[in-house]
This record gives sequence, C-alpha cells and structure tokens, in this order.
Amino acid sequence: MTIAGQNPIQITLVRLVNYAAFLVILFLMWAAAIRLFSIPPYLLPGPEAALEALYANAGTIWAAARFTIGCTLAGMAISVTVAIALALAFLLSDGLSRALMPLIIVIRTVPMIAIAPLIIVIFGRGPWNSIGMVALLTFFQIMLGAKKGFTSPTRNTLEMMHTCGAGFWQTLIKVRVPFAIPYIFTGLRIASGSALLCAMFAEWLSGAPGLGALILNAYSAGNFTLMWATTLCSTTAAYLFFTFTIALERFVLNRIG
Amino acid sequence: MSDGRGLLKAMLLPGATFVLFLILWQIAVEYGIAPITVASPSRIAATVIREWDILWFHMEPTLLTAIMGYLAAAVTALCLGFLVYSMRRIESSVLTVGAVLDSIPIIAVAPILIIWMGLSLSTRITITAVICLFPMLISVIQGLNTQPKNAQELFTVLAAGPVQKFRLLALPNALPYIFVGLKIAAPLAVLGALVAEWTGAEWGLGVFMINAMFGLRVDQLWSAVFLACAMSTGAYGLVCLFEYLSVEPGQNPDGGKS
Repeated sequence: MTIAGQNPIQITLVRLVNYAAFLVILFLMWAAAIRLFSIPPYLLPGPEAALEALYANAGTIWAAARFTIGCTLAGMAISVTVAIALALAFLLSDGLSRALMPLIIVIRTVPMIAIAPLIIVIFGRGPWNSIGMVALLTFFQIMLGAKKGFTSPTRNTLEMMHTCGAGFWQTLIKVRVPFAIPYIFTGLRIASGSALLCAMFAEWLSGAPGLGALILNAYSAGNFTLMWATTLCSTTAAYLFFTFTIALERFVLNRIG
Repeated sequence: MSDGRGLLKAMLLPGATFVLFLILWQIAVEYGIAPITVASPSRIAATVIREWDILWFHMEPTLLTAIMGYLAAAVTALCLGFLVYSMRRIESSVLTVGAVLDSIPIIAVAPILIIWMGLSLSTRITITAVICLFPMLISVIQGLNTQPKNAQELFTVLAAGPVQKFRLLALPNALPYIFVGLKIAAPLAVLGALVAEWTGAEWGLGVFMINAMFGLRVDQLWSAVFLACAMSTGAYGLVCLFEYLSVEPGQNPDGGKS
C-alpha cells in the first residue's frame, strides 16, 4: 500500500537517519539563532544546555517516558481490541450499524481532548486516565478503518467463498481479515501519531507521573532547560512510535503478501 | 435518500438509540451503578439551564478565541499556499516544517508561547491557530496541486500573472479540498481555545472546566464539557453549511465527504 516491497528494518533505518539529520540541522539553527539575536537563556536556552539537562536528568525523564509509553501502549491495545470487536458486530448486524454509525459520525466531530477533564474525574489520577484517553482518542479511527476493511472484499471474492460452501466465520478468517489488515493499519498509523501526545495531555491535566506532568512541573519550577529536554524527548518518542507502527505495518503486510 | 422522508427514516433509528442511551445513562446514575463522578443527563440539562448566565459569560471569550484563531490559521494557510503555489520548490520544505511543528506536543508549545508572549488573548489565539494550521495547510496545498491541465495551459497562453492565476484558476478549483481542511480544523479551533485557556486565562469555558474538575463539582464539569462538545459539533456543522452553499454539487473531490 504505502512503500511496497521494502523491508521494515530498511524503512525504520531510513526514517531514523532522516530524523537524526533533521535534529542536527535544528540544533545548528537553534544555536545560530541564539547567537545571532542574542536571546537570553530564560527565553530560550541553547541546545547544548537542553542536552546537558537531558543527560543530567536522564533517570527522571526515562521514568516519565516509560510511564507515558506504557500507558499509550495499553490504551492502544484496548482500543484496537474493542474497535475490531465493534467493527465485527457491525458486520454481523446491519441494524446495529444503521443505529450507531450516524451517532459515531457526530461524536467524531468532538475533539476527544476536550473531554479529558471528565475522564480524569471518572478514572482518578493514576495511569488509568492516560490509558482511557489514548483508547478513546484512537478508537474511532481504528474502528472506522476496520469496518471499511471488513467490507472491502469484492463481491466476486465473497460469492466464490459462498459457492465453495464457506460459512461466515470461514469467510471472515480466510477473506475478510486479510483484506482488512491494511485498512486497520492505516487507522493505526493515523492514530499512533497523536496517541502519545494525547497520553501526555492527560498527564498534564491529571498530574500522573509521565512526560506531560514533567513538562508542566519543569515549567512551573522555572527549569526551562529541563522543559526543553523533556519536549525534545517526547517529540522523539512520538516520532519513534509512528516509525515503529509503519515498520510493523510493513512487516505484517510483507508476511501476508 | 434524497427526499425528506428518506432522511427522516434514516435518522429514526439512531435517534431512538440515542434516546435509549440517555435513558440507560439516567438509570445507571440514579441506581448508583455509574461512579458518583458521572452526572445524569437530566442533571446536566438542569445545570445548563440554571447556570446559563455564568456559562455564557465563560463561553463568550472561548468562542472569540476559537473564531480568531481559526481565521488567523486560515489566512496563514492561504498565504503559505500562495507562496508554495508560486514557488514550487519550497513545497516539501514547507510541508516538512509544518509536520514537525504539528508533531511537537501543544502542551510543550503552550508554555513556550506564554514565556514569549505573556498571558494574553493574543497568546491564546496563537495557540488555537497553531493547532488549526496543519490540516488547513495540507488541504490548501493539495487543492492547489490538483489543477486541470488544460485550464492551466490556457492561463499560461493568455499570459496571466501569478496572482491572477491563483485567484481565478487555482483557488476556485482548490475550494472543495480547502473545505476538507476547514472542516477538520473547525472542532480543533474549539479545542485550541480550551487548551489555551487551560494553560492560563481568567475567564473562559476551559477555565471553568478546570476549576470544576479540581473542585469536583461534577454537574458543572459535565455541563461545561457538554457545551464544549456542542460548540465543536456546531462549528463543524457551520463549516459544512458554508461548503454546501459555496461549492457546487459534483465538485467534491473523492473522499471529500468525511
């Protein structure tokens, strides 16, 4: 579908090299801008200061990153499971689909982050609110992808299965699931870019010990070098997350041919 | 389903489901099945009606921020689109920078913008604009890139200047694509205004929401969230209406109807 025929390791490497090159250029421009306009460090610390802070606080940042990434993974796992189950339910029952789909389309116009405060009062201040937010945010994208995928086999294919005497479940496993995988991954890819940032958002509001809370704490403590270091770290994590999703997609698609 | 009856029939089932959902929700809250932090639909409605004055007082600045940020992002996207249109070489750099800016978490950008610009209305508008910009930019550039070749050649033959070409050929043709971006960005504008207020403001629905959250005033929190959702759905509907009025049917690109 996307970059056919390449192997996942190659894609990952290319994307990582691109990102590293981008970071180097960004650092050079960043340092140059600070020298050129003589920006004081309280407005914008230099990249070397941010890297120093990254090194000095590696333990703290790593713990926070682990929390956030764990929540994101758990949230995505829940949302993929529920999304595929619901897409299957829609496939089984046309009435259910007609009853719920218009509502889902309306719900999709609501930005999920806006209801973050609700999730926080419901799930409390632990990891569960991050997990809930991620699941909620990624759910619709993946569900719509799966639904589209399950209905994507052509009529001819389905009729052939019918002629061969295949039942619903056989058709599902042999035809619909392989057809749906690229669509599910498309949904997953779109969702994965924002999933981590969304988890950070939940932490930012709830104060659960992840990257989002770390940025906010660094900001309120006036520790701007730590704030930049964490920002750098979270952007990198979001990028890696997206890259690994693409690599996984490639790996699976290569496997099923 | 073009006639009114068909539409009515199609809406009946989801409407009934929605009512059923509300009833179940109400029952779940009244019998204590749902956690105490869940407000029942009747309580939410009652709160919205009872405290409408104070809610509206907070909604007004949020709406203002959302609209201003949205317009600022639209103007920026159009200007950048024109730049890219007249200088094709910078397209990939503009898109790369846009994508990177979009992938920096807004909660990291917000404190930085506050450090730079202070806590003010313009900061909140900027945050909103930053959130809205990327989908708009993508759709503007994509729209400007899909021009009918014949018309383009005609404009070249007639020696049209770049501004003429942009205004008379590229922009009208790109309109259906641009509306895709405008539709995606409309709820994001409301979100942007809320997020901007979370980072710091005196009034606004976002402030009200956060205060209600920390004070565990469940009814107020739910009604504020309900109003925020209504605002973003309304914004989406409004842009759809504009699209319906300004784009001829049949001009929609594939996948344009989301």
